[in-house]
Amino acid sequence: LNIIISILLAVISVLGFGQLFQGGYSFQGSPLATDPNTNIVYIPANNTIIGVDGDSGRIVTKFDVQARDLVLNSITHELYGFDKYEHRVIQINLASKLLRTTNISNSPFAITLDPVNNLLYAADDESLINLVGINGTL
Amino acid sequence: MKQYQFSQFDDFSPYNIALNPRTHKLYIIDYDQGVTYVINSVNFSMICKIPVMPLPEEIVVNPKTGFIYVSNREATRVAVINGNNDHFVKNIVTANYSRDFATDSSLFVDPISNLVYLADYERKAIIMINGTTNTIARTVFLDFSPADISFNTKTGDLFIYDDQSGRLARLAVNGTVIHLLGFKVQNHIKSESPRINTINIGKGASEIGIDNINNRTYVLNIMSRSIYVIDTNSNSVTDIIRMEHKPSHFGIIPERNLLLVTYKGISGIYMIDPVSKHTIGKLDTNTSTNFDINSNLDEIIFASPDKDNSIIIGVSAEDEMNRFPVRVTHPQNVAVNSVDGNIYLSGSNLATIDRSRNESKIFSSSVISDPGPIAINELTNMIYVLANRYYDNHYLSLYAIDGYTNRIEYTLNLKQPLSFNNIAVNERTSTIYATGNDAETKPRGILLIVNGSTNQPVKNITLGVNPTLMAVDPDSNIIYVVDGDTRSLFTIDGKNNELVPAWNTITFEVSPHNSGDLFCNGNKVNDQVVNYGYGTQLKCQVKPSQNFVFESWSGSISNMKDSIDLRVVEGGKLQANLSELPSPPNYWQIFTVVIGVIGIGTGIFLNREKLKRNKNRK
Repeated sequence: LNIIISILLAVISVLGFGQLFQGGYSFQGSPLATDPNTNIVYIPANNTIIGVDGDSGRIVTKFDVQARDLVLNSITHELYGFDKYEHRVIQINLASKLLRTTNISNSPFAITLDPVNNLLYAADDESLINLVGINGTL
Repeated sequence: MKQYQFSQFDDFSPYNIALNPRTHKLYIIDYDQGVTYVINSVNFSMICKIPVMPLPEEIVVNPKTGFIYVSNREATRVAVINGNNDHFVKNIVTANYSRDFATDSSLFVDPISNLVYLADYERKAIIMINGTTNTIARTVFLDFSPADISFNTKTGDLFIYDDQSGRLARLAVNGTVIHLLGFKVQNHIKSESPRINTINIGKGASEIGIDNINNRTYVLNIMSRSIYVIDTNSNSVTDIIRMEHKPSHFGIIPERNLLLVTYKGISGIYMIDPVSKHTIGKLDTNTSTNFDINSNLDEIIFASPDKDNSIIIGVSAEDEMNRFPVRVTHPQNVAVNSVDGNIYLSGSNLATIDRSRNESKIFSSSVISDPGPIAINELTNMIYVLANRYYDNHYLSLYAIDGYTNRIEYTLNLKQPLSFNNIAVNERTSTIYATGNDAETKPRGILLIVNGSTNQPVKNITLGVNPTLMAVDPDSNIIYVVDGDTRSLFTIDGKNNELVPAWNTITFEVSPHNSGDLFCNGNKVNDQVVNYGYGTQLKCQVKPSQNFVFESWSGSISNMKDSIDLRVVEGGKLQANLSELPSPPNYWQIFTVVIGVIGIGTGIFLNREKLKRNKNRK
């Protein structure tokens, strides 16, 4: 009887974990950013930014970089995020796939973009606003 | 890179940050104090701090209205701040209870529909807030906890991140259908019998306007002196408002459910209640005039000659009237950017009025000759002007002017249409639409479509004889075009820039046959072929017969829920698939077998006992 119960529990466990992993990809971090021109949703994952096609749900692009709080400029096709632990903001040109980073002195907690003046505002945990010029605007 | 210290203000525990690039204001929320700091983004001086609520977490800015929205960590409140005067407006209660523990919220604002989306992780819901009325418009419940949201401003789709399964879901524009990505999903059913969709609005129809709040489209008919009221859902005329005089122009203030009308040869702008159909007010002007409405500031802007015959721009808000003299004769079209309040006037020249600087600029006729209709993309702050062109073998020019610098960004010279009537822009798709006609060969109407991102013509659509005005619904991406000569209102699907079919044929099937009943909007539709008007909302569900269970939808749509909401945009097939349950055991047969076995056993036992007894006797 014990053997039968063990086998049954094993089968249930395997089926249960199967359900748990049916999503296929464990995303972490947020928030997301959506490119309205390509309908690609960018999701921060483990040390990666994943681009998911908004129609099919397929992963269409990947950038190997740690980032949080994504912000997108759909006109210049630039994606921005920050790396809290490496104290830097990240800039990815989605057309050329070129990645740039700018180090700041403290740990950023939020960013916002000024698309008109091409400036990035990164507030950090030492109560500093870091004004980052994009493509030489500062 | 530059750095600015902002802890000088006082004990500061900043949590999130947002910027309005148009007003140069940074908004930083302080989690512990429950306040929003307003900071000048140019010199980093503090403008003010606004108490909002305990534990604010997310902050977003609507750059079009200048309003700021802040949600708390429990997702039970959304604070509204008027960024134009930095006054706290109200707290919207999104959940009327206090939670035992802090959960998570996520916030997004769509500047085009002015809808604010709040993701409530604990309640598994997306709450939509009407940014005009600052009230909850709708709550959509999910079967998972939304960890984060993002929005496609072009399609109007909301993407919702499920951090438990690592999946992404999509909430469609109508707020009813949710598709988990990864499933094979087709939103639209392919067309089988396309016919052009027209609504009869009478000869002489000239202007059109969309009221997205009350779901109505209005068409002004000059000849019959009436306004046709069209229900946006059914695309049918539901009412006609008659007027005493011959109208010349009209406009809508959806927030006030009010129509504005001017009459030919009669001075003043008249206000009409579309429900009672009565004139309820009048704005005095010197002549019958063209006008535009700035809903954000509740202003009516008009251009008309002043008493000394100089042209003035009048801005009427409440009881105040501001006047801006402009050196433009024959004013034809006036347009206002409701974000910055700047005014554009075309007549003998094109004039721009910068109201924050209180200065105007005139484009000389050598730069823009004979300017006509004006359209503004308030999201990109681009101003589009159609103008006649009498040289260079072209007939028409489309100018795109940067609203920040007042510089012409590009000029598109066109050969068709030969003469223009009007221009409109879809802010979601940055597509420009211009109506006109080509009378060179035979009278025919033309709709010109231009990609506002690449500045290149997309296509021309031939429709009617002389299409005049049009309106764009950015949410459904439908363009309405009025052609008074053929008494038609054309509808065009902005997704493929094709004329919309008049009706759509849907074939319904249940598989296997007789395994259940399929109901759509309460009607049984098993094995039926039904015609629906464009945009019809359908709620379809299956009632399985005994011993059957629902499995899936197939055909033009793939879905696993037994009840689905659809919006018909094209014809196709909807099939409900059911499966038969395994047959339950027949208890009578089992009982009979058991009784039989017991009987046989008893018989054998009694027979053996009898044999034993006989043996013993012997």
